[in-house]
Amino acid sequence: MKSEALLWGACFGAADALATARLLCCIAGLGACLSCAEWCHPWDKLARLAPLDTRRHARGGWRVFWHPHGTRALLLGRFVCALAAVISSLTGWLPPAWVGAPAMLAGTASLLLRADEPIGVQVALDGGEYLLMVCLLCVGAGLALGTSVALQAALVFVAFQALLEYASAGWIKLRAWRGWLDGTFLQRVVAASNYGHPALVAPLARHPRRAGLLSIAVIALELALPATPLLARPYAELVLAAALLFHVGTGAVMGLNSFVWGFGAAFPAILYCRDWLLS
Amino acid sequence: MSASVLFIGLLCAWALFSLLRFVHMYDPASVFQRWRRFDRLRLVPFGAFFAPQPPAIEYSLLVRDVLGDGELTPWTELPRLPPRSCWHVLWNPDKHSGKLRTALARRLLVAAARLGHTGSSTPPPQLLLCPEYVSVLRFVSDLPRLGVTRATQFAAVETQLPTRSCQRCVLSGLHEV
Repeated sequence: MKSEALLWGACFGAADALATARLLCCIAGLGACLSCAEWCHPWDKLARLAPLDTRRHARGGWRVFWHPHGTRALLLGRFVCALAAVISSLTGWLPPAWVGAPAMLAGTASLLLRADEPIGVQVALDGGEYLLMVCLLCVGAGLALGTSVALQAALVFVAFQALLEYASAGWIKLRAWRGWLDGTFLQRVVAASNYGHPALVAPLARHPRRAGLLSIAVIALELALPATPLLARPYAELVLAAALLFHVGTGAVMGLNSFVWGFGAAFPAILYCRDWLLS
Repeated sequence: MSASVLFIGLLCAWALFSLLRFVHMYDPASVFQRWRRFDRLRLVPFGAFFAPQPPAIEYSLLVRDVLGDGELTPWTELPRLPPRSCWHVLWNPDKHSGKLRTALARRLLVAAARLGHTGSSTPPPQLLLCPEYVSVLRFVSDLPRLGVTRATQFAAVETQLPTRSCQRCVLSGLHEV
């Protein structure tokens, strides 16, 4: 067992894997803490989200209790576990299982929140929340299992999921590239009240070519990101920095802040895969 | 070690289904998408980020109240969300309310279309009893109000983007609050 661990460590750099996993858990844990706080602000918001579960009052019983009290308890548990994962990953001297166990529990709570109503809350889910769940659950389990092969598999899986999301977003947008190129689709996005920005509606309508160029730049970035594990230093870092800038921009303009944490947490795993592939 | 092997096997299966989601991804009835009925925890997400194109329509909820003195308030879009700010990159709890509004209005419009109710005339009795209508009514009634309100009326509206021209509308009756 020991020789096997040493072999894996020599092949894939187990020490780097551990440092990467700690950093990933720290970022994902912070994102999960923030997400829990958003779900519970204001305190009665969860109760107002209840109308979507239309069968709740008809069936009564535990459904009425669960939403919002059970959901709040689940969110509180997720918050505490994510915070514990952040603190334990920052200490540096705690054994990997002490980082992994709370991260895995936070990931499990995130997973339960994806269930059908009334256990889950469907309107609060997005791609950022999905990647937060994947990061915490898989890397947490990889750390908790205590073998380097499990941890490395978890890191590769997180990188795969993040890059798959980028690739799919880019390739599927290409199906309707004309609308993106002439700026029509970006104008729709900024005009929407949920994800838009009123200050950008008029400028983009006046300059549709600029809107088209911006859209194509985003699609090019989404298509370039899956190649990052094959890019040498510092090109991969530059592409990921551009991606982070894109997420910060969409967070400020479109309010999609969970993507900053979800995809940002996956970036160390992508760089880990790059180091592994190019070593 | 056996736990690690099992863990890696699970990750491989998850990765496989993540790839399989792209086969006939927009056709839920497809043979390649039948496994989704077992994915109760949504381990594999639907669709892709604003792809292939963002929706051309938007759903919103409008509300007006009959005040204690009988005065009718103007139509107001609910819930009232604060304007976009740079802070939303860190803290944006209102995004859930926006998505809830969209979901409620869309479900009501779909239910009305299913019952053959189009336009802004008085809703048929079947619509008044459907869960989607009751959900919106409960949501609207629970909203905090500044003064005494005798009754409320709401409308679910579908608008075209970016022109914001109205495409469809369901208008409720007056309901006592």
